[in-house]
Amino acid sequence: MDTDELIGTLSRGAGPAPRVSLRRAFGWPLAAATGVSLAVGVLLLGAVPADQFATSAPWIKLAYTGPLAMALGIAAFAAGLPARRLRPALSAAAMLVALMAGLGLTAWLTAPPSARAAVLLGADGSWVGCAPRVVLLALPAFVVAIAAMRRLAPVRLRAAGGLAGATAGACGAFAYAFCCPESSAAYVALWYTAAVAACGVAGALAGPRLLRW
Amino acid sequence: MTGVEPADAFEASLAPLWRRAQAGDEAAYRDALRRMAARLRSYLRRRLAERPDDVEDLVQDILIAVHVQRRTHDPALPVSPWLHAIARYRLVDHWRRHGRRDALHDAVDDLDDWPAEDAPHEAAAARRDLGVLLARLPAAQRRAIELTRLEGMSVTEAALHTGASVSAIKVQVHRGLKRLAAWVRPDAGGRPPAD
Repeated sequence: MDTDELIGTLSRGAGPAPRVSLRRAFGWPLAAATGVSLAVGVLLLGAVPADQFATSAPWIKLAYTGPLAMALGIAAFAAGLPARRLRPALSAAAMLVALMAGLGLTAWLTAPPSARAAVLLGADGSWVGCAPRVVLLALPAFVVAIAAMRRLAPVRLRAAGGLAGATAGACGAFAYAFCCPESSAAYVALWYTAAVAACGVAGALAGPRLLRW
Repeated sequence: MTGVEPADAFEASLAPLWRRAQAGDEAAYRDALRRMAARLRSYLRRRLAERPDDVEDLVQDILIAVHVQRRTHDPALPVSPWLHAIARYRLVDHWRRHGRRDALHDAVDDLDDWPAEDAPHEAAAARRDLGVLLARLPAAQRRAIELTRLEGMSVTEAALHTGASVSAIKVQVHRGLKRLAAWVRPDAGGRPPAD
């Protein structure tokens, strides 16, 4: 077909361009996926006792993973649009991680030497299960985030996949915060972040395969 | 580079059209796509010099992508970086579909198909013509091509033979072949402006 004919075909009756929105592309779908993960987590792993919410522990987890999911989600959305800058949202995410790392380090340093291992690794080696459980609970958000990314136009597939994955990881961590009995900030800084990073790596590996258009 | 607008002039001429096009103005959309097509043609001609037949196909491919993805353009941002990002993505995808790793390997891939071992008499004739051209190359490039392409040495053997590094031999062969190809095929765009 002649290029001018093609242009005629494309423009005929094209109408106004539809708009993409962060909320519709990522916000609502990921919120729904996180709700599913929360339900699965509570059913499978059990919720933390309600009186825990009188302490700061679950609130720290939620205050870390919630904003982290938002910052990473904004960065993922930007990665889905050609020529959009990722930096502002990425720096916000990096600041959250740094802040949490600072809190964790403080908790670890102020703990009595005999308790330091438990502060970092949790009670009875619970660290072994933490990151895998977060990854498991991130699965619904992972599927949703990759599907949302496929409806956009990512031009850097690894970055887009990585950010979609990390966003899903943060959603999974948010849901897991309702089921996690550990209370130390060092534990959260280390294992929650590791789980988010693992989901990001999985997304970056899958990106070129799943997101090509 | 005749007829290529500077980037900011292109943006200035496209942006108002694109704004109206995105709002639903069909004529403005058609004009915007035409301007994009012209821009893409010159962008791709420089990058697909060895496959000129692919240029128009890829222009159309990118225009379709622009159309399908037009909702992904943020009206607060300029159009040309958005167009460029899509064009580059489709170009890389095109190379991938045609078995290339990246732009830097283009010339090598094509020139590697040079007949090094034809039938003997053809080879003799070719060698005579080639000798004239080779004599015009810088000595290092000539030597590297003679060893690897005419005497059949591997790059490693040629490196041992001359004392140069393997990558230096590769670079000399690449540059030399590129220069030869430009002399043989002036239409490929390699001829110096003096001609």
